[in-house]
Amino acid sequence: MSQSQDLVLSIKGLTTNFYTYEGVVKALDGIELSLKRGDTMGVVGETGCGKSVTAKCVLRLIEPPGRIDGGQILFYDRDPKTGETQETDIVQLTPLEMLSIRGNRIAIVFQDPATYPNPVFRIGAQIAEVVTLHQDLGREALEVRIKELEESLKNSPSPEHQAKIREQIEHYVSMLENPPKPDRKYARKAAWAKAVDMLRLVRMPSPDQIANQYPHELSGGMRQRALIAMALACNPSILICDEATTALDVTVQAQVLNLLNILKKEIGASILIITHDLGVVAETCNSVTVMYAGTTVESAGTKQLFENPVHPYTIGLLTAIPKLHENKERLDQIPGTVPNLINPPTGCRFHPRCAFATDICVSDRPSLEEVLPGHYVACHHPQGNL
Amino acid sequence: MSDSRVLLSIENLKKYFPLTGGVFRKVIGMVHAVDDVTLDIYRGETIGVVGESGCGKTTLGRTILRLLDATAGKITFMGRDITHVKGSDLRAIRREMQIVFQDPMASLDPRVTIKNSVGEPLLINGVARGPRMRAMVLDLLQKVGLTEDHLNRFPHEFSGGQRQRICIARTLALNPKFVVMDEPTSSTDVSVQAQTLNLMKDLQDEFGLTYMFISHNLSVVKHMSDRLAVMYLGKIVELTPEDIFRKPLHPYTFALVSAVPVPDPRFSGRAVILSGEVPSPINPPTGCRFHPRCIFAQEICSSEEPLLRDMGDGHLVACHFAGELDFGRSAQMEYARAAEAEAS
Amino acid sequence: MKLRDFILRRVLLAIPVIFGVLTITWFLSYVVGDPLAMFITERTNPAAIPGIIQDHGFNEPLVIQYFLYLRTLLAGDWGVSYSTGGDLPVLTVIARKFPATIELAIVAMVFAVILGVPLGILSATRKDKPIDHFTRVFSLAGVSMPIFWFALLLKYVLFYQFSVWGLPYLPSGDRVDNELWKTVLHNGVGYDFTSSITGFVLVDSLLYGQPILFGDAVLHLIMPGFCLGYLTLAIITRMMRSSMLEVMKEDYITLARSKGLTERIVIYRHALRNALIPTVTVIGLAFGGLMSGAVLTETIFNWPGLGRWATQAILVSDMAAINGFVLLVAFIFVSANLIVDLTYGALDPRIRYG
Ligand SMILES: Nc1ncnc2c1ncn2[C@@H]1O[C@H](COP(=O)(O)OP(=O)(O)OP(=O)(O)O)[C@@H](O)[C@H]1O
Ligand SMILES: Nc1ncnc2c1ncn2[C@@H]1O[C@H](COP(=O)(O)OP(=O)(O)O)[C@@H](O)[C@H]1O
Ligand code: SF4
Ligand code: SF4
Ligand SMILES: [Mg+2]
Ligand SMILES: [Mg+2]
Repeated sequence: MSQSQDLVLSIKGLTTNFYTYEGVVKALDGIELSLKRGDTMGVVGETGCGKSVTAKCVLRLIEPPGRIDGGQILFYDRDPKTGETQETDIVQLTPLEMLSIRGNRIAIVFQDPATYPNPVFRIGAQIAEVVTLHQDLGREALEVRIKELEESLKNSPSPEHQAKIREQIEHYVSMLENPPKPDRKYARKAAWAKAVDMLRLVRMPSPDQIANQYPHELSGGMRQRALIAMALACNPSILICDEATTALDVTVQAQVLNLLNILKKEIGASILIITHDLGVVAETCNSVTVMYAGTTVESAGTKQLFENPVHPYTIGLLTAIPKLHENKERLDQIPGTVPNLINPPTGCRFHPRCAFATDICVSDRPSLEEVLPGHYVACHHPQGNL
Repeated sequence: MSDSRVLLSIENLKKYFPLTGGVFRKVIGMVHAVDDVTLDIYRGETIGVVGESGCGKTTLGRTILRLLDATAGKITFMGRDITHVKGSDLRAIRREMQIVFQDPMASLDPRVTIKNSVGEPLLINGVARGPRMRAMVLDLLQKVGLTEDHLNRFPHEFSGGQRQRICIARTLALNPKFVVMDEPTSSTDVSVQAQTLNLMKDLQDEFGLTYMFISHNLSVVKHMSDRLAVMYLGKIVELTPEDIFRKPLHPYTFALVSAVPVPDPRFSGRAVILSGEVPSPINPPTGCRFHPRCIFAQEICSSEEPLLRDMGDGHLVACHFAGELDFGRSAQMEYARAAEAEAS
Repeated sequence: MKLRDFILRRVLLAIPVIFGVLTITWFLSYVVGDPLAMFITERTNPAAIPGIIQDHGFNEPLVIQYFLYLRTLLAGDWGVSYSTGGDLPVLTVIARKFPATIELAIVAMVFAVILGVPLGILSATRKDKPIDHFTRVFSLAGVSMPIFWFALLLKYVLFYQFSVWGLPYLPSGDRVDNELWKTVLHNGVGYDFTSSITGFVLVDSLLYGQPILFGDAVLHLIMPGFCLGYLTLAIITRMMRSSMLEVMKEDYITLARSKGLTERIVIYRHALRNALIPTVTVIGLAFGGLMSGAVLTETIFNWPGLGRWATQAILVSDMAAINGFVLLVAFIFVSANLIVDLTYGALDPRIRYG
């Protein structure tokens, strides 16, 4: 694929299996995916095609009986201070090393805002938790302290007392350059302040108040914004949204998608939008990867993919959805159903449902090829205008 | 009710759910789930109902089917007032009116074979039993695209789409005239959804059914329906024959339509961003219920409730300024400004 | 709803419950049991019987007797317990014996919670590992072993066999070694209601400033405390294990992991508090259950509490005592339930009292 310099994530041949009682679920079988720095990529496919498993692999959140059995997940993190890029293969990291990436350099927003926040902790505390975990907050804690002293300066009656406070302020200001480890009380305050800032960033009305509320006191849309705030709290390089707007109402979904579109420009993270809704992709992404039954079938720029879909599955998907601006008596339907991944079809996994299938499709697995510049497809008989 | 084309008609239908509280569990409020809905449903048509979560779609469907008792209003089915019928009369009516639910797994008993699940209504109503029932069930299953092998299997052996077909088959067992489809494809996949929607259209033609099709997915409702009702906070705000999406007249419909993500990058970025959220149905806003979020709202909107008015061709709109509003680019900007202002 | 309304509502609702329990036990004991049996033996002079009947009002219609009993409850002393030496009022007996029972119950409870909660967590987080198997067998034994059998077994091993083998052994019963207390306190009675300060041995021994007495009290509490608490311990362990396993599957745990938290923090900060919510119910209900467990444990360990008193009362048909005991247990059940619901609210912000 393209030069690795401008990539932030490159998944190569990722294979993940679940070893269940019924048999081995071959959930991912050689996933290929490349995310450019600053890009917003959509990952689409039907239920069970492996979108969420891919996201969990990137964060190494796969639990037994699941196991990553092959492939690479290359993460090119750029140090915000030095600007240097460093390559890491996430698959090879130890669980301990992974802790410093998860939630910090790569963050995720999940589907259901009703079940993901912990019901017993305040919104602010849940955001502050990530901040405390990954940031050392030395400087922020000092700033909080200085601000507090400045407050007390205003209320202080006696001149001697004021002089003493000023002295203290100066002392702390001098430490700002090279902040020591913060003490717990001020670190906590600094983290909370940061949490409120994050809530403000996601356009939450009266963030101070919201930080003090519990998840059940917020509506679905607000909860999802809080989860986005949580994910963005450490300025991650990659933000993954796994069906982040699926459970929301259309008008609320529009609010959240609009927010993501605005934030995209403000935060400089690369975003992976996982969804089954092609509409969401068209609204927010500049490139798309289409998955089917644990494989990558097509990948291209959004415009290119919607105008000239090449893989028979992508074509089927695009014509199967009813569209607002179109009048059609019947929908085109893809026959059959998604295969069972314990015994997936041989060769091309789509062949039992494909109108263009031939013998080679049954026997040989098509590999992902570049058929047009930047347009990749895994099919023996690509359609569309080539 | 002189119009013989009307199969079912509801007048000023209300359904309130009481809200209790305090030491003695007094009723301290009412959830206005369906509030004064009037609607005629014609024979053989599909009436679509859209709206956001909690706006009262399911409650409306269930109240019409007498699964819930109406708080006020009148339901007339085939010229007969069924608002208060009871006992065997009610059972007879139920045979004519059926419902398909969103979650097919929840409405099928996991320990009962498909044959018995689908045959249950036949048995209960004394229509058929034994081999005759089996034959009828098989006929139904074949109509929805399943085969004889499936007869003795259990629900968990089927995919979501197949289960929904089974539910549809069961619904059709008693040859109903009117079927409420409550989000029938919300839990299925895109490719399966296309299959189910096509099937429902075919069955409608074959059995001469009248549908009420409820969904929050505008594209799906639009595809299925002949006429479409848009609900907001328990009320129908707009009722139109078909092309609502080209010419919405109510500001809420306009916002709703624009918010649907269009799977075509050429049309992206046109969503109107409404500020805030749907208010609580416990204390709905006065006057026009949409006025706190409407950029066109005038003084009259907060004091006087707009009634549904015919704007021609049976296109009903409940807005004081219906037909006078301009939903151009500037309206979208105005909404964006309002949303941004609310956030800060 | 506000907290005050909630408590008020619950208290009001408790009144019919307690009243119902009271009415049912009273009528049952008077209809099924024989209230005269207490006062008449083979050696009673037949001529005196009408007098006895007259004295205790047994000639009145049942309903009148019932109202008389209610009067003693509302205004009086809950009737007289004739089986207690000195024919004391029921309320007085309860006041004297209640501390012994409640102290035993609290010890049993503390021990069940302190051991049960961590065992449950350990078992859940190391599912199917040796510690989990051990815990499951241990708790299965706890729920399936009859208390009286287990108590006798403990006594046989820890008291009898240990003393036979010449090992340090635990006392076989009683609240204290009264001889020891007499010597140390020089008061001639040792430990009883006249010499106690709070009624709780553990507290009193400390108030006397005598560590040796405190040690003695602890030794006496070990066997009955463990025996009484074992069932509760087993229930808490099992409940904690299953709710922990349930919670670990919740989405918010995935979210917590996705933040990069260590597994320890995920478990002890995010999962524990949620998993405690159902466990608290069990703890509350079990506290009521401890009262009935006390009947057996106290009898076997010769514990001078309400349980043993109730057993004796049943044996001799001491109606006032039986009814008094049942009423007290009903009170404890109801209050335990209320406390559980309030704890719920503290643990789970989603609970709105209503
Ligand atoms: N049994 C009930 N008791 C109290 N309130 C109820 C009850 N059933 C529904 N409601 C309330 O009535 C309103 C309408 O509910 P309804 O289920 O009809 O919504 P809906 O439009 O079908 O939403 P969705 O898209 O989420 O299915 C909601 O505010 C809901 O909370
Ligand atoms: N814990 C698990 N145990 C067994 N199979 C699993 C597990 N998690 C996911 N799978 C399987 O992996 C495949 C991909 O799932 P997923 O990534 O969740 O799909 P989606 O694309 O809808 O997000 C499915 O076949 C699913 O059944
Ligand atoms: S490889 Fe063959 S079966 Fe697979 S999509 Fe292409 S044509 Fe169809
Ligand atoms: S009546 Fe007024 S508030 Fe309501 S939709 Fe029309 S313009 Fe907006
Ligand atoms: Mg998923
Ligand atoms: Mg509904």
